[in-house]
Amino acid sequence: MKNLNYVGKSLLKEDSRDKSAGKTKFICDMQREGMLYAKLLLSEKPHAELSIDTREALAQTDIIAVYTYADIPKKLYNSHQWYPGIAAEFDEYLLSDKARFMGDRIALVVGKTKEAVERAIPKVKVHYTELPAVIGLEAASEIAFSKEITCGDYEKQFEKADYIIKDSGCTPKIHHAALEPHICLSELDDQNNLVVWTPCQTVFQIQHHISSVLDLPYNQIRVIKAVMGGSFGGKGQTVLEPICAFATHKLQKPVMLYMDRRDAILGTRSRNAAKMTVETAVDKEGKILARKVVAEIDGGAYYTNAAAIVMALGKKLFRLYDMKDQYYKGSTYYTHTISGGACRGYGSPQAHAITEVNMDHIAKVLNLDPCELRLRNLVSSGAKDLTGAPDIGNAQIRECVLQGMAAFAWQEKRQTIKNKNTARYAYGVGMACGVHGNGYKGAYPDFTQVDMSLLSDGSILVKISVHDQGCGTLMTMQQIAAEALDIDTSRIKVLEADTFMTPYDSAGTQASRVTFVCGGAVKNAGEKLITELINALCELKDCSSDSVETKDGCLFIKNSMQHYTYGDIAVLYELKYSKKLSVFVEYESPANPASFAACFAEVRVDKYTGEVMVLDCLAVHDIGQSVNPALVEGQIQGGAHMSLGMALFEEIEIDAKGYVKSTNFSKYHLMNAPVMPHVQVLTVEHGEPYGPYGAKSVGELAAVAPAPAVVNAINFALDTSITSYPVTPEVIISHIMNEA
Amino acid sequence: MTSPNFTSPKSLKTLCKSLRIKDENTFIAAGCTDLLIHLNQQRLYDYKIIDITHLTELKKIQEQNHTVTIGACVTMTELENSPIIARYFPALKDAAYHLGSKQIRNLATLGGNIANASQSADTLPVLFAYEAELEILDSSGRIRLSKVMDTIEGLGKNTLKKDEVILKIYLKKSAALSAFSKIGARSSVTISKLNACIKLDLTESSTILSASIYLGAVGAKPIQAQLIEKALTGRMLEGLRVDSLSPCIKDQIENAIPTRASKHYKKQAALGVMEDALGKIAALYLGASSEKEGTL
Repeated sequence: MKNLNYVGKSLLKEDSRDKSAGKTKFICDMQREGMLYAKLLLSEKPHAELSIDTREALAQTDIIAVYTYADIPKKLYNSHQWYPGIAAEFDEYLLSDKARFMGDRIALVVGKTKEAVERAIPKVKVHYTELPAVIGLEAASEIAFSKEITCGDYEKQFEKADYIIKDSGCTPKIHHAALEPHICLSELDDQNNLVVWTPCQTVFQIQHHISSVLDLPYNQIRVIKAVMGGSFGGKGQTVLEPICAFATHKLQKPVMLYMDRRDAILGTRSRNAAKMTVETAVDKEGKILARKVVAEIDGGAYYTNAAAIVMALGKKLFRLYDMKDQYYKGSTYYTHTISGGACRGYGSPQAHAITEVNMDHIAKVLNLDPCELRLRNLVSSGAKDLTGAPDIGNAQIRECVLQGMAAFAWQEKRQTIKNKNTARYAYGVGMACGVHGNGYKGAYPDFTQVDMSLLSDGSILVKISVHDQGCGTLMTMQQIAAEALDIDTSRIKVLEADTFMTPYDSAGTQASRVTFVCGGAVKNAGEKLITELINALCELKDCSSDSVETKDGCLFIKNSMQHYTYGDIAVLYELKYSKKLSVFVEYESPANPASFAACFAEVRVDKYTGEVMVLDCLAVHDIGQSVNPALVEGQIQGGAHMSLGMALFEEIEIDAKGYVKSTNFSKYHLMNAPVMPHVQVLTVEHGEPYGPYGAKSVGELAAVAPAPAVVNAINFALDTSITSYPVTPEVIISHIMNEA
Repeated sequence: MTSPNFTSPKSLKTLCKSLRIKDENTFIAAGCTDLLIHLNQQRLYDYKIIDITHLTELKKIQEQNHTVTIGACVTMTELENSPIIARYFPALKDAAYHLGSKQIRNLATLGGNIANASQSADTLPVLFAYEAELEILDSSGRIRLSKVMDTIEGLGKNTLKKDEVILKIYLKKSAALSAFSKIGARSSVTISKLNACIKLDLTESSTILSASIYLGAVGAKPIQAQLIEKALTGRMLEGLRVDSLSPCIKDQIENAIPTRASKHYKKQAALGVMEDALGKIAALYLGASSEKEGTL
């Protein structure tokens, strides 16, 4: 591969200074002439018929409107459906006719000030006629979606196996905990188009939902991706935008719909809780023969992603270990709880949470080192997905494990760590692997359009519908464009998604597709534009393209003194040929390889208080090629933060009757700075053939392997067999008590 | 700043004037770290505030011959950094340091932690163990003294009358060594699931002459751990192993919360809390003896 000038450099993303100085304007900072504020009233009951009296609320000072089910268009939608071609159950109204979970949208209060809105909300009189609520997977019976995925014949292998090792475990509902709670702003522009500003992940999805619910044409709905204070999948589904747009449409006024933390926990989406049973057949040598995985998933009160979570979770199972026979069945159940949605890793954290603990269980039974067991079974470069999904690609997970073992001093630690034990503290090390995808190829349309122009001053404008979630997507695109065009990133402007300004993108900023697919599209457009530019020079100066060299925004004709800036050529070309140097590309993803990670962790368990400290954490990622190493490191550390939180603390607690207990950050426990270990990062960069400059995904995968690595470390420390998450101090103590 | 809904008295006289018209919608504000949460959660908008942070004498830590006086508006950060507190009441320094986050500690006051009367309050077990007294002012200007343990009812309730405000906290100086320890959902920036103050009078050879121990978050207000106190009295601190106290620690928790599901966890966790606190006292003891040796 040629030397890279821009890709692979830790360039500072352009919004860093303003964000760290507090200058960046988020939606909550926006102001409009005559703007109204709106807030949802969320159901206090898990399941109830509603009778709502809005009169008193409407009589409050500065209250403009109070909407309920009676006021809204009786049009159902599915907030997960990102384009109309996806099969989905439509079961959500803008405002619900009845309460289906504690947090359901039941009224919208609109007023001139936030204070007026806050004062009026308790004046909306809701009479609940309570109905029996189905809470938790144990109680659930109504299936929203169920699917089997298989390869080979696992039953035959189970008969031959020396051992069948079985584990069952649960993972909780998790709140995304983006610092910015959900918010959006809608207004009408001079042409009476409905304009919606939102920190979202897919503008075209929101345009689609607003169009269908309000019965407005797509081309009168402009959705603009606003600066985002974090999403992690939480802002992936369309929750606030249609009802906000409805208020603007009705009142003909700008409306800002905001949530607080309680609303964001109760009234948006969660990572689906799951219960999984894993049975793995192995021979004496530690070769996996077959596996059977059954996943029951808590889908919550609405259909939303019921199908997607079953598929996303299941597909990962066929791409990490080499086994010919495997059976998976996933079923999503309705319950009267918070609905499921995208959440960093989308099924992978749940899948690996149990399967990777099962791997350590196998290692223990066979008396094998857990790394050794994995090395005997991990996929290799060029592996096929036996279910018929796209090829696995240049899999370097073995390399990740080997490099991790060396850097972590795995064997030595595994043998000696227990020497540190005291009467009170037990020490352990553990590891786990993980796999994730690179887009939708093989499942859904996966393409994007890019409009790239060379402007007269030599700068570059790239129009593409990406949504920077704060992780540096724009800088990543700039670096890829810079590499293709051989011009500094500071001369490249990449726009974010805007349904009126940027061209179509089939699937949004989700599914770990942006670096791989959108980055691939930008590279493709850049290569076409630089070819056009060189051809233009050749036409203008009558030279051959072989004799042209580019360097840092300039063109040189070999063996001559002539050189031109890109801007010079743009101007000359326009003058002579009446044409603009620009390209429009529609790029379909050529592949959907896997990204891999191995994570290693050292823990100290307090056998008195049950407290677990993660003393050391190493994450080794197979990412093909790092576009921006600083951003990659940030993603891996941030992903580890979420995963370690899942391992030890995070859970939306819902009691047996369906009431949510953890409605703020003093009761929903994130991993905080004092307990967060430094996460060391290693990357394996051997290039992914179809990725832009060899790059593939990292951001979602980063949230997968740390959790099971920590649980494996705890089980090693205590000689327990914990398989459910989170492993709170109470869980530790109850295991110690039970196993004593 | 003074408005009909907000007064900021600078003297006790004007404070009394404000207290005279204090109604159930008037709140006394110091650090506001609990007050603002309360106002938000209760959706209160039409309230009045008496801001007591401009009364300079409420912001001091003063040492007298036999007592130390702490103003109600002294913050956790100030307690944590005070050499006087460190010298005479090490557990109070500890408790202040372990309360909330740095940002909270910079604002939260001792008076507020008392008046808020949370069952998880971190300074209360310490104030109970030291039998701290409060100086309380009412709207007529009368001042009365009351023990902290008599003022706290717990679960957010105290016995202060509507027109009363805590001015100062009195602690008797002592040669006892003390420590505070807690556990929550996380190791720091966390609300106590269990906390404890241990205060020991020791001989030079580390024999425990008397022990005063209070446990928090196992009842509406801190409870005196008499079983553990008794078990410790007469024993040597040096070489003391917490396992040897295990049965009585567990009994103590069982007695405190016999019907709570959390008792199983707290019984075990109390061992850790006790060991941490005893370990801190042992370190203080060693520090104190080596200091003495140094001066000889």
